[in-house]
Amino acid sequence: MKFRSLSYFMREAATGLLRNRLMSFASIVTVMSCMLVVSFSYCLAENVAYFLEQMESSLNLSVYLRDDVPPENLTPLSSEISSIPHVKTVIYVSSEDALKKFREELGDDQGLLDGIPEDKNPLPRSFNVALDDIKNRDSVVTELEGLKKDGIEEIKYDEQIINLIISINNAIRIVSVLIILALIIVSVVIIMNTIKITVNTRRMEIQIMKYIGATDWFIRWPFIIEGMLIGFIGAAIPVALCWFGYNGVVARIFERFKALERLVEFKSAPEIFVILAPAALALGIFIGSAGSVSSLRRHLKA
Amino acid sequence: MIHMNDVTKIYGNNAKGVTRVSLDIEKGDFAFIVGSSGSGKSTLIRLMLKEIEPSHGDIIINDVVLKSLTRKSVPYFRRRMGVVFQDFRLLPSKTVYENVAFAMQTVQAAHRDIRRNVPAVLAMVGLQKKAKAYPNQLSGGEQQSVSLARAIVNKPALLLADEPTGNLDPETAWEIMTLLEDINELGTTTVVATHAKEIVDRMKKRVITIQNGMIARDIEKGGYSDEI
Repeated sequence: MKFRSLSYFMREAATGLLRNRLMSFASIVTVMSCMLVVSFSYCLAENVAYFLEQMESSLNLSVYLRDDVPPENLTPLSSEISSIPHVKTVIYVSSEDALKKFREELGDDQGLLDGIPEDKNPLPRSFNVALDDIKNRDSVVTELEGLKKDGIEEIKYDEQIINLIISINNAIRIVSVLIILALIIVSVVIIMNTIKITVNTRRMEIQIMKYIGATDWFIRWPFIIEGMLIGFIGAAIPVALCWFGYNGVVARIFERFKALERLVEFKSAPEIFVILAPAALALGIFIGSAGSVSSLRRHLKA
Repeated sequence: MIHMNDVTKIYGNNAKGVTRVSLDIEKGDFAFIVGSSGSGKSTLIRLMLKEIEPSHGDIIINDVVLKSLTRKSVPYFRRRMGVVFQDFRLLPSKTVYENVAFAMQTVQAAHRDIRRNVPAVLAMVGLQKKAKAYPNQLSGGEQQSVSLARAIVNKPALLLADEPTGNLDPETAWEIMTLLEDINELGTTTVVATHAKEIVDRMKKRVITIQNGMIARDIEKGGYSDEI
């Protein structure tokens, strides 16, 4: 493409957009609604995945110790556990800590524990072991089993909850990918139709250009740019709306369900949009140019 | 300039376009192709533009063998010829100036050349004062003049006109033909397909008569209905 043609292509593309104002507007709106749903499903899927991740990481392994382990062995044992691959943190929980936590959990019923004398705490000491990813649980457990001779009595985890979380997470990812794919196909078809109409209203122009000796690419570029503009505007507006609306919606949800605030945390807007914004814009531009190229094919033969 | 050797074109529905046409038109010549509608005039023009392919035979234009031309090089081949049609084919949304400049933009000419050449061609066809007008503000003759200006602005070696005066009254038609003659005198080989009998008779140019897709007569300085 020669540089001096670029301004010509841009002008022609803008003229095309403005000349078929209604069609351009209609297709921008359609792409917008598709991209709005795409952005929304992406935000939703990301946050659900994020919630599950938070739940997963709170599902730590509890490693209970035998009562006969001398206190001076605790530190070496702790660092041994830390050195197991995929172990993120190891926190020591003394019998007293365990009792205190138990009391808290009992709340109003903690009077039940009043009969227990201070020096006869029945709760065992333990390590609270957090993993980098819950999927690595089995390998860590195997390693921990190997440490039983050093004083580990029992390893506890809630297998059912963990498996449920993993499968929910996978299901949501698959569903959101399917929704997004379907909407992309819908958008391409709609843009193809719009550009087809633009091309049709300008077929005489294309015919004349061919008689004069315009190359195929020279004829194509204005239409491609027009499609790109439709795709870009159609993606930029919903992404901007989602971006500005995001924090407001999160605040609303917390306002409505106060209990959630202590349980979960939403992904921050920059975290989501650093991926969503460029991906959506690139997608819009791609959809637009793909629609243009395919609707021009018939007109450029011979 | 134009060399056709035993050219036959059969359309898909078995309708014959032209049959075994051989002709030579030299550089700088002016030739009429005459015949009634459906005789094959337009088929000849479309063959020369490589808009359609001959079913048989060879066409050489501007030293280019048309059948060996790749799809990609067709645009560059067409840049060396100008075309004019009966229905003008101007772009209604562009001014006279823009319509002519469009031909130069299409071949990616420099802005400087566009600013210099477009007014010059418009002056040649007598429309320098209408540069800012839109096609629907012009008479038929003026529109065809714009179309002529567009055809020659890139200085083609060959000008093809398919029924250029078909939509014009006789007086305007004569003006357009005179313009075509002027263009030819500046060195552009000119081929005009027409059935405007009076004009052809008056011009005393070479006349190639097509009947039922075959060359019936080919006469230097002839008339429309000259006998063999």
